[in-house]
Amino acid sequence: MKKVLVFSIVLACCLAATFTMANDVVKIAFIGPMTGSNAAQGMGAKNSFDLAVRLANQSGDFPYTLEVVALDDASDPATGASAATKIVSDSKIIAAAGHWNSPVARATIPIFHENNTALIIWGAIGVDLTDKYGKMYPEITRVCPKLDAENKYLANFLTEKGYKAFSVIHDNSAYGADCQVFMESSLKEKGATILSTDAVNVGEKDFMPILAKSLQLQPQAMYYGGVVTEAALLRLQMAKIGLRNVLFCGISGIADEKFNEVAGRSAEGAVIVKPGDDAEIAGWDDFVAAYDKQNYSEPMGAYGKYSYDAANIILAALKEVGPDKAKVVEAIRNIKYKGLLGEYTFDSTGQTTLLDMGIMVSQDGEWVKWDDSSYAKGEKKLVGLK
Amino acid sequence: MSVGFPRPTDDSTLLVKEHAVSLVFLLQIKNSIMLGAQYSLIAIGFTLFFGALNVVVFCQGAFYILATFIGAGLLSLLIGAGHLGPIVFGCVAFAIFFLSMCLTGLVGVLVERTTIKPFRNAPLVMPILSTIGVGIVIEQLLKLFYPQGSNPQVFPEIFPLTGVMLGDLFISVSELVILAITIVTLVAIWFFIKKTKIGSHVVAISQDFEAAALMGINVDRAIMVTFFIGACLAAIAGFMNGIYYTVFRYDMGAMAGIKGFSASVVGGLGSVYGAVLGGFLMAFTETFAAAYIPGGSAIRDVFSFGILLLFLILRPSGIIGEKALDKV
Repeated sequence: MKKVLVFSIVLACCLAATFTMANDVVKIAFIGPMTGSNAAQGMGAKNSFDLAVRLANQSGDFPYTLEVVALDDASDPATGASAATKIVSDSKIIAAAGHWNSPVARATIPIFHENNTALIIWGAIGVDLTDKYGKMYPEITRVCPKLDAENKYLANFLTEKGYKAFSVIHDNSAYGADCQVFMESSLKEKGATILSTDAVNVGEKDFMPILAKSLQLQPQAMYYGGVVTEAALLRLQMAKIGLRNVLFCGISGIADEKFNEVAGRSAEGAVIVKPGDDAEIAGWDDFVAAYDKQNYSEPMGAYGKYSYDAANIILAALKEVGPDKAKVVEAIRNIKYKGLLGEYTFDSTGQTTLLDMGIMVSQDGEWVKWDDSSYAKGEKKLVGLK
Repeated sequence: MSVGFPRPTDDSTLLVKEHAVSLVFLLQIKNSIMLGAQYSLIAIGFTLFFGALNVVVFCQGAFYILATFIGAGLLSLLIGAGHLGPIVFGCVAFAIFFLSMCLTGLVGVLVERTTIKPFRNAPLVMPILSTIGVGIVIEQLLKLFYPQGSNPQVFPEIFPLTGVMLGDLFISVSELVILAITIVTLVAIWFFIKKTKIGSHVVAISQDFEAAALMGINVDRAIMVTFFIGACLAAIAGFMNGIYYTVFRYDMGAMAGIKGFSASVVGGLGSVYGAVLGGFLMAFTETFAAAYIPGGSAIRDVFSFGILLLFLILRPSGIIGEKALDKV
């Protein structure tokens, strides 16, 4: 009898301990490309997300410990979908921030919706992610600008500088195809001519056949709708084939130092749009200092600030309504949160109303803000214009 | 022919339109040759393996990417070691290529000993599956254990950016090197098959395995040599890819392998000359389809594999092959 009693007490204590421990931890998830071609983007964003959560834990504002579950989507929809399934099936995970690649986001959105789990998109800029899915599903919101806005911004900048004749190459993902559609329409609106449009496979490494044609067409600028590695190869091969004096441009899919590393000297003078204008951000320096203090091995990248804000939006919602998935979904949609980039609210499609962008130019092997560059000061000249 | 830099084509606006049409055509030919050289070397490997053992060794693509990783890794170490004179640097770089090639060749031999030889009398599907497995293992090991292995890697720039002008066509030093390597390799293969004793053994076992064994040929040794050479050829193609495109990734071998295999089928499995022809035919088809068919660049592989299908249907023995593809 005595033995049974002791055993029962021990068992009860264990159960109680497990229960308390389990209750002490609330998890929030991050998904992004941590391996593969776009790993640099994903790692920077993951670190920034992690930073926000570490700071929240240190602040003592939460009666429980926050924990990050970071999963890799490898820029692959199938891998992303399995990561999303893992997230929604863990009852301790209250909300997630995810994706740099729009096709991956398209694959996971239905999973988050069906399981009533909030997903804040930190880096995928496909138009339909909010225009279509965000409109239908309250779980989906996005903190970064859409690609139509980025393309329009780039088209305005270049046409104002005098570029009138463009060749367009895009990868045949939905992202690349959207880039082509929006860039071409924005350019045409501004009176520019599109000399050629070509599509390539994602992962293409041989652009020479298309580029040789461009020698005939003599564009002033070459626009690439796609992502980092292919863009860098394209620029490298442009220089090889004799199109060094054609301007290379693109949107934030290329905003990564890997571009400068791969394209080497030929990267010089490439022009891109980068979301957000770091220098204008109040609290930017503190953010950078906090990031550096953690000694992450990867730089924060172009989207680190978005995933940092995404994490903080989730945390603000958690603070407001507690660790309840459904309530957090609602709280995020209706939030008014002052983040790094400004005050976030989401419109009826879940898209952030903050749309801040800037032009960057590749100078001496790194991306430099346009206004700070030698190009803006007139010390260097963009190629392609007579 | 003149030597120098910068090149006149650097400023595309200088080009006269009619002039450009012929130049563009020449450029497409150059592109096709660069690509065809890689496909051909991989294809010769397939064809040698098939000749020797009647099996398709599907890890040939993995040898290709393995060699690229070994070569690029060692070259990065060399570049990191500090500034060497151009001659010393050139010699060491050449030694590195040679070493990486030999290492890959040894991996080829090891793969044969461990995953193909045990299945010599087993159904043909066994070595096919085991080599596919080996290919995946090599790829994943590179991904997991090479520093940042899953990310695209930059192949170190080892050749100067100068080149020669052939009329209006600029040919860079790296392109000349690729051409030279291709020619030397093809001549070496010809020499090996036609002029060396072990080469004649390889030919003998490909003609009649049992008869060759009965004649006292050491078939095991001939097969080992075949695998060493086949893997070395994939390694050379891998270096060419690195030198020409400057970027490589752990999963690039699979497609290169499939293209090389297709080229060897188009040329005629078992025929070395056929493999070369097949490689260039596929490269020319791909490049010209991408360049001259509207929208062709997005579906260039459709054209090259279309050629493969045409051959499989209309001429399964390939351009100059003798063996029909009844054993794959």
